[in-house]
Amino acid sequence: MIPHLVRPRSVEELVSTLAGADDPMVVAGGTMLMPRLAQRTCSPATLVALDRLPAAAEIAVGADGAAVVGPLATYSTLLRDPAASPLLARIARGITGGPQIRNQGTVVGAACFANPASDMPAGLVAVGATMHVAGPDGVRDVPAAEFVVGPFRTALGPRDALLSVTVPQARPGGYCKIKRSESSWPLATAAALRRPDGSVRVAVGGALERPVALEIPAGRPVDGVVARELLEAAREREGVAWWADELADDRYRRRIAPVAVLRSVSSLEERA
Amino acid sequence: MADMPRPGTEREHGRGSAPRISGDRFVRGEVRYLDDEVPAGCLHAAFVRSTVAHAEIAGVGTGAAMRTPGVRAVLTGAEAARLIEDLVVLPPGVGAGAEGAVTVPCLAVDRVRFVGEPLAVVLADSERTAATAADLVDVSYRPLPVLLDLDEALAAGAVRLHPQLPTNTLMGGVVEEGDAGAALAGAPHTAAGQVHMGRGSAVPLEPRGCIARWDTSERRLLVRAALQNPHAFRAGLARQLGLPESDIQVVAPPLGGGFGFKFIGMPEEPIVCLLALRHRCAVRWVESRAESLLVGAREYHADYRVGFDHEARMQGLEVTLDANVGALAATPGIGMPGVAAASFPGAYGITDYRVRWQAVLTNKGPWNGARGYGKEITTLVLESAADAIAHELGIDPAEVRRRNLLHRDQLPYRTATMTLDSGDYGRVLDMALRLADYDDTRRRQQREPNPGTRLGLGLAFELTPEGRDPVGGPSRGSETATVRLDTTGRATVLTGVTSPGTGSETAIGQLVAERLGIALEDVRVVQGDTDRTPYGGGSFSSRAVLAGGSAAWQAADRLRGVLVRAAAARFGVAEADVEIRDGCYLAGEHSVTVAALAHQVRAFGSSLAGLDSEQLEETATYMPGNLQSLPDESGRVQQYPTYSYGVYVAEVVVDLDTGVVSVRRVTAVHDCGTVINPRMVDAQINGAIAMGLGIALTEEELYSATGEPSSLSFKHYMLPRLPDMPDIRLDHIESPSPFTLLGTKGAGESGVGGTTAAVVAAVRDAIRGDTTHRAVVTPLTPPRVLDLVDSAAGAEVVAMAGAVSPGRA
Repeated sequence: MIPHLVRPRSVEELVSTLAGADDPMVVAGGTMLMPRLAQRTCSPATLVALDRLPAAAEIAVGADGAAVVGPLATYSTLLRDPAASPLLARIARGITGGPQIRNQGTVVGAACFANPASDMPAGLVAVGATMHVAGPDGVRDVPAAEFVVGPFRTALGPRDALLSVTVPQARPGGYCKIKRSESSWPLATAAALRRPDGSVRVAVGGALERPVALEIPAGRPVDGVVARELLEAAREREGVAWWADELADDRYRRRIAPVAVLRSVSSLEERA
Repeated sequence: MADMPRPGTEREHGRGSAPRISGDRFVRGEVRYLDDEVPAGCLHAAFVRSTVAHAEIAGVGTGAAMRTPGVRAVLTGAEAARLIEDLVVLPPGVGAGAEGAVTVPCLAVDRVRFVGEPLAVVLADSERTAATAADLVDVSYRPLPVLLDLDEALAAGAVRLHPQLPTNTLMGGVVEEGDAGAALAGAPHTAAGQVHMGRGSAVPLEPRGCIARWDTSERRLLVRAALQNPHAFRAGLARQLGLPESDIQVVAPPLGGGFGFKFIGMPEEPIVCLLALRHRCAVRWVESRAESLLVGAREYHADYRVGFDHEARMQGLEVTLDANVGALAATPGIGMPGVAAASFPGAYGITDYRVRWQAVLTNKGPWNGARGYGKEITTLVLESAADAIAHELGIDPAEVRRRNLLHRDQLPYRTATMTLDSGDYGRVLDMALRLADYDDTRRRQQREPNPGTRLGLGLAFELTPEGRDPVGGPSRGSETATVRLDTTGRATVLTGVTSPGTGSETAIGQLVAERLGIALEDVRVVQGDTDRTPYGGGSFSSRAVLAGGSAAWQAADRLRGVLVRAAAARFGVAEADVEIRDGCYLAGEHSVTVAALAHQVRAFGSSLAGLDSEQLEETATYMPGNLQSLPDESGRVQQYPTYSYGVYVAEVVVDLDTGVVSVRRVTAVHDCGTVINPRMVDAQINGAIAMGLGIALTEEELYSATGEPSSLSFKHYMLPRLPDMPDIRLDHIESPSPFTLLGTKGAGESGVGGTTAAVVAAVRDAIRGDTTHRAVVTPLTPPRVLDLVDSAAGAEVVAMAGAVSPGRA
């Protein structure tokens, strides 16, 4: 069955559409959802598109330097305005799939899909983003670190939609992605953000069921052993398991995740 | 991508890097592929496929599917078996211990043997309705033991996968010469190892598809199918449907890649034709990506033992080669393990060798063909053995090749299964080493500026037997071409070979244009239509120019004679005085165009002395020499007439912390005899290098423990992309074959095995350690490479590239 398509023009209309629709599913860029519809691996009765919402495709930088990323802002949008978030732009540059995906895939969509083997969820944790969620009770804010709750699972309810993401004022970021080859989804990612006090927050993705963040105090030298200890401590504290899929088992991911951490910290110096 | 040096103003055979005929139509998107055709009012077929790897079919419930609005018919395997003959896998006498021919039904009747096996088909008025209704067909299964690996399938007491075969070995044999056992026993040194090549396929970007319709006015079945062998397909279809071949037309539209993946023998196309025949309408089916990735084309396990002296000279070789060919299929793909065995011992002068091979059935998907056609595993095994010798004796791998390759004075050189034709293996080796800056790279390797990465350098010699004459197959090694001249001075070539996207029509056109003295633009090449072209093999085994081009050259050469005689008669001069230049036939002050000559022959031929029997159309059939299809006095047969070869050098960087391999450069020096179009040959090698890279590093079809395939998309079956491609340096030499009309050899498969083996060797070289020599596994994914790094170090490496400090704000 071909789903009924609704394209709300306001948040109010979106909320009421979601509340009233029969078996709704929300679509942003559609790079993950549309192939699944074509393959009939998911079949919602109603497809709710976010593309007609006001300023949907924009990234707006406010007076405080924080950037609001709209639901249709793509990886290419980030690349056109790298100053809004240098770290997210850097991540966007390495997205697998070439211009077709960069022009179509969205930050909001990647966050909602919550594929453990993907870039953006951990990137949003690293920058300390705030997720603005519209639901039956209005709009609420969820910290990025609490947004993804497991593999392909988020804090969104069945009648919720992620409206936009606010990224705090831009700071220098480092990034490392380890993957099998150009076609490959990431096997481990690490996004590092330096704080004003010199400490560094590193969010690890790709290797775990959901992103995990660790803190490196200012001035602390980190080698492979230390990186592994910090990551294991953070992982156990948050109760997150290592991820395994067809591309790599959990043993391999556990092995290389500290490498990604080290390299993301090193790449802070590159100022890319 | 590198271009090879151009042979200057060489005019012989019309050689030169002519741009592809109609290349702009492809670039502009004006070419119509199969998927571009949707006949008005056509119905769509969707296959119901097994969801389990091995089971008896207890029942097929079609009620819900039949009740779906828009569904016209549902055909089960049992019903289809009464309407269409089985596919023939092997003729009588070929299957191991089978009585009579080994056959397989188009749709599974009482038992399924792999996940994805078609067992019913739905016909509906839209693609989506057909697919949705196919999901509603309710199949109940009684599970049977699932055999996925060679060991499971070969175990004593393993369930028999096919009732016609006494064991799960489909075919097998021994290729040998001399006394390998004695040679190994007497050798001063021996080295042994294993080579496991993971399951993969050829994966053209365009999958298969078929559109069939019954033409009421002509009372014929008209078929368009994305296949490499339209004539052979028609012959099989006629037998299966009980129609005269002449009542069927098969057209193969331009293909978006073939590579052996579009060989005939899969069940879907005949079923689509059956539906069109029964329902007297147009029926369309286009394979999905997931369906296409059910098909395999390689998965080998080899054990080798090589004996050698103190000087690294190979003295004896023993190989066992087991192929996991998955479920039974009627494609030429199952012939690949036998070809792999017959391609030993490559170009190494080993007189005592023994290769025992078998093709083993399992519950994985069936095989179709793949470029390389088994020779890629032969190359990987031989080159791994050569590297093992270098490792044991502590000498450079290049030196091991130099001391063992046949010398050019030894050619032609006869083995148990081949007669190596011509070449200069040592010279090509030296050229490749120079072009690759081999010695300089070896010196760079010693410096190792970065402790976290390691530079690796690997090389491989690759022999590629080409131009097969497959006895018992659907067509022969010969090809037929008709060349037709018209009164506008244009030529039309009707050839039985097809272009799977390689542009072979351009080289064929060049040969004809040169013979007739006309421009390439004035030649039209017609391919892939059983009504219009002579019977031919389509595309397989790199024969398009070798066999098809030579036949066209011969036909054009005869027409050239007609034109010369016509010009001589017109000018009143001797034939020997007629020259051909710039599209005109000349003698002294006389000059005439081809168009005028053609008109002269057609309109006035009967009234001109000496021209009364001349026509404007010639047909020629060409069979290459150097074949032995009838066994000789020692029982020896030889299926390949030509032996292209090359040396491949790969430079890689291995990340010791992650196991990620980056291929920096691949250098190749290649010899396929006479080259007609260097641009096309370069394109073939460039593509083959990409395929070799995929086999070596990224491509693998994986299965769950219960036999579900898990690599059914390009996010899981990872083809190399452009950024994965290395810098490529290419060069060629031309050693014409003494056994073929124009000296050409096949050029379509070279580089797949050579690149695979060179990249594997380079990774081995980077990691060092004994394990990498004893056991080779492809693809070398980062997890596998990291395991090799650990085993070479004797422990898990926690090295990393030094500590970092985030101290400065």
